[in-house]
Amino acid sequence: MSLSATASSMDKSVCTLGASPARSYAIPVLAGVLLSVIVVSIAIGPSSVSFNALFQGIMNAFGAGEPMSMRDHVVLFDIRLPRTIMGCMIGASLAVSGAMMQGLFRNPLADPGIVGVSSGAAFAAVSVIVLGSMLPASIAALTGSFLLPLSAFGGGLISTLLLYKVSTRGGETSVATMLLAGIALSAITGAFTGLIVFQSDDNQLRDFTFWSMGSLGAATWGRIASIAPFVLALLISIPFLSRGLNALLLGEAEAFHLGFDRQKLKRWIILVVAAATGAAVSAAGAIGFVGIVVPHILRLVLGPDHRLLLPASAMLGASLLVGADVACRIIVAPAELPIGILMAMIGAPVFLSILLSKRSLFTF
Amino acid sequence: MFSASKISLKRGGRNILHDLDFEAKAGELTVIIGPNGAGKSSLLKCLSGETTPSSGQVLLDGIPLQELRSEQLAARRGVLPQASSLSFPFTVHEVVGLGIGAGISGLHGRQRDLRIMEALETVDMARHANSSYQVLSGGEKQRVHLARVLCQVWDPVREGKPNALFLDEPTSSLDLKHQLDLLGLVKNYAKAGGCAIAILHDIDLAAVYADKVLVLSDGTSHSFGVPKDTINFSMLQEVYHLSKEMIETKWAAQNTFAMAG
Repeated sequence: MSLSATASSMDKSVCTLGASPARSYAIPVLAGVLLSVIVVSIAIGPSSVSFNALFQGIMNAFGAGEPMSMRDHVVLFDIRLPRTIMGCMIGASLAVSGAMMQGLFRNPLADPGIVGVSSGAAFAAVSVIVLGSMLPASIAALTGSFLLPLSAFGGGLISTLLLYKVSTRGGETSVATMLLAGIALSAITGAFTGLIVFQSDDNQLRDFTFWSMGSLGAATWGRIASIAPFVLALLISIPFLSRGLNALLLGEAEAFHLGFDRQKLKRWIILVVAAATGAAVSAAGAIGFVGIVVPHILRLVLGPDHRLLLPASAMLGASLLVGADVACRIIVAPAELPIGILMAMIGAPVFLSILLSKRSLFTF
Repeated sequence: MFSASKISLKRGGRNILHDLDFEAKAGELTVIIGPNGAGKSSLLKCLSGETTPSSGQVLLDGIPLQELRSEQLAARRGVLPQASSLSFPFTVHEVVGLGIGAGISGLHGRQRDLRIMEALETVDMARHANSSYQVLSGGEKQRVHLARVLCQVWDPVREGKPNALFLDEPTSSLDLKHQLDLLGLVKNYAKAGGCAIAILHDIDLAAVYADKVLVLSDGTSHSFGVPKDTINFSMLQEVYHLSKEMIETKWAAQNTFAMAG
């Protein structure tokens, strides 16, 4: 044990290190998966449009290829394309938010859907839908189409801050308190949401069914534009937060020792997670488990380094949600299965399996 | 290099540190000893900037810590805590790599890998580089974290400025050989111009390795100086409340053992 080790023995060990194959191929492979899922999602639907026609139509939009029929044009540009793009945005948001929250809470089970952040966002969104007409016209005019995602963001932010305050003492997060506080938070916001739903008319009631089960069916270009800033904020923050998140896994004190401004770091994480979760909830309702399943699978294959985990989560999250949406459109065609139901069917068992494998975390 | 002037720390109505003056110089290994609850860890936390004292100031080269950004501090001092927990499956190599991003070394690619391996060789953990951190024993984890901290402040002196190692009971979970290895390493770091501050419970190790010893008692400095002036019979009685018999029993065994050796 001297400060300088022999060069030859070091060289040998270094050869065995470096990036494992899984890590170096992860991004291209995931990009390939995402691209194929996108193609399938655009090509499949209740109205049959030939693949060639779709391709020509897309090329035509760029000034080449042949023009499509009016009907095909509507199917492609007003239904399938926005739906697919919104699916990508929401899938990426949910998966990256989940991974970031797990880093912040230093626990693989933290997820905006489980710890009550999504229900806080949903409560705020539902309130705006029902009570929105009572808002002063000036506010509505000022926020425009951003009113819904903004209020969902606000609801998500308040929930996250509450959760953090309740479950963290002196920089240490109690897992038990976090999960229990999440249950309480979900129950409270759920009760208030129920109260509002109780007051609503038939039209609004139909909207709420969509909220509670989650769906990409309401995708429009307008909706995409209204959530885009929030989703972009999350994605742009990835390179700035990933090193800090790695350090946070060692503990808050260690993150500080390693040179990170822990307060600033935590504030940013909470802010972007709430923004993206709020955006996702406002556009597609409550879709759970994406934020648990995706980071969990990726950590098994790629390890927990956020510099790779976060971009990989964005891609796999987008692929998973768009893929699940395709399945939802096929399984009970011509009807549609709400995607939240399918995700819960896939996600809950994965959640349980993590719980079983990490029992030591719950010795309280 | 690091100095504390009249620092006090109050927590929940209790005075943890009280009007403490202290200086740790570059080129020296300063060991902090004292009974449980004397304020050793709290002092180290104040010195590292993790805790802000209720009154008084901690200075790094004459500059108050509050005026330094956390990354400026991180470039000058690494901290090995008593215990670190990590519930995600990092490899040993990755854990040590977390230290490299922190300093100002700016190492990348192969150079970074070489530095990580060198640090792991230094703490006798190189063969575990690709193992999962979670399967290691307590002592092995402690050594991996030491390698991480070493990576953070690798050069004892960089661009004319000394760097510092803060160690909170670094030997607590180590076997005898690795205890001596670690203290030898820290001593060498100080000899090369760095500043080292360690909390130790083992008074014998403190007496052998320390350049300076700070004896803490009830949040104040009982004595501060070279080991032979600070570690003595009366200190053990006053600070640790050991009776004559207790002292004889503890060190008699050691003498018998040494003679039989």
